[in-house]
Amino acid sequence: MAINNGLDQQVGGDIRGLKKRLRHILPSYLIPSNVGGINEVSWPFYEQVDFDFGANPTVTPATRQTQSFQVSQEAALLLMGISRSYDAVTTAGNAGPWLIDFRDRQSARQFNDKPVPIQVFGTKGNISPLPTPMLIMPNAFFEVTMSTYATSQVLVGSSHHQFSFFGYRIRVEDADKVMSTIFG
Amino acid sequence: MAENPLLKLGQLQKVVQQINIRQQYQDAKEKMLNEKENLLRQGLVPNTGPQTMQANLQSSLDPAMVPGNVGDINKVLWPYYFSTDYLLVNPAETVKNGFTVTQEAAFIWMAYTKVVSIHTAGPEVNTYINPDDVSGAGLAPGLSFTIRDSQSARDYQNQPINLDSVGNPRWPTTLPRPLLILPNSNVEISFTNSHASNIYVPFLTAFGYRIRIEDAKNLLGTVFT
Repeated sequence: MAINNGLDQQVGGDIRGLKKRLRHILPSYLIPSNVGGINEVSWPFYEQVDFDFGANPTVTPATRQTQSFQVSQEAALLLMGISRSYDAVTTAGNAGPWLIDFRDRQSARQFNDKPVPIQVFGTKGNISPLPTPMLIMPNAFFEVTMSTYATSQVLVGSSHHQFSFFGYRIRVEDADKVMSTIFG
Repeated sequence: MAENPLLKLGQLQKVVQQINIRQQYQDAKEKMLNEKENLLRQGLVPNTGPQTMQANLQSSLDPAMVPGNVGDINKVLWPYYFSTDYLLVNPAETVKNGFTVTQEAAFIWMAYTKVVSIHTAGPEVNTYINPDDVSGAGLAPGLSFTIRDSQSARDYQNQPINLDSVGNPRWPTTLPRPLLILPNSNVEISFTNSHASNIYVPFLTAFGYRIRIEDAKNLLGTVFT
């Protein structure tokens, strides 16, 4: 037993010891999330959805595309931020009359009362954070629909857009037994 | 009389079968107990419903990462965006817009952003005015707005605010202390265009969290004396 700042000597391969040690040494915001029990660890993850209406599309109120991602069975997703990217700065890209809406199919909850302009969301590195994360269960679908408010407009450039949903994956033991995230 | 050896063998096989079944049952039980022990060592309990899942998440996650949508029906919260409607604002015009918080849950308003496009008729063109454009093309001159919380009949300004001064999506205008907007309440947002020729399509999008409030219909205000 070593008396090194009140710490037990770390035994080789002892992850519990490592975790304890890190907790003792590091400030709370620096404790790595991937050290611990199999159901305690979390790791960063990006889910992506892509939209493409082609080059120089003509858009009307009927223009819409729905894309989705499914959280894989291994672990749930703690959604913590949304960002987007685009290929063009012209009207088919970032300067376009595009609207977006999000729906968590697991709870049938929408994130908005009506579609919001895509420009509301941060681009690339400027992620729009969700200060309190949202848990999306394993196997759940998350739907994203892109539409437009233009009545009839010929857009210029590439209309490829990508939305990134950033968060942390965390294993939920027996997730199949938890049918809802709410009780009451 | 000698016992039939085949009969004895049959009985023996039956006993072996019974032992095997008991062994399997014992193995399954042992596996289950091991799993339980492992979970308990991590400070977790088996997930049998949302209650246990909430306890497990609280135990394994950093407090800042605990999700808001797991828990009691009146305690869960989920992110939400309320946006104004698509409306053209012509020169020398004031247009009333806004949003209504739906009955399901109240809204904790935390931040807002604006998105303004410039509109030309004829062949329709809506072009986003990117506030990050520092060449001067990122501004919406003459466009201002007012906010009024109709629940409390409170105005949030003494006179219209220039829309250029708030809500760049890169740096949303945050309310350092959130505002609670009750279910069925309306937030009125008016846009005024004092530009000589530009036609604008402004959107103001409020970001926050929805939260259920029991007996919200009995609350006529958020202030008591």
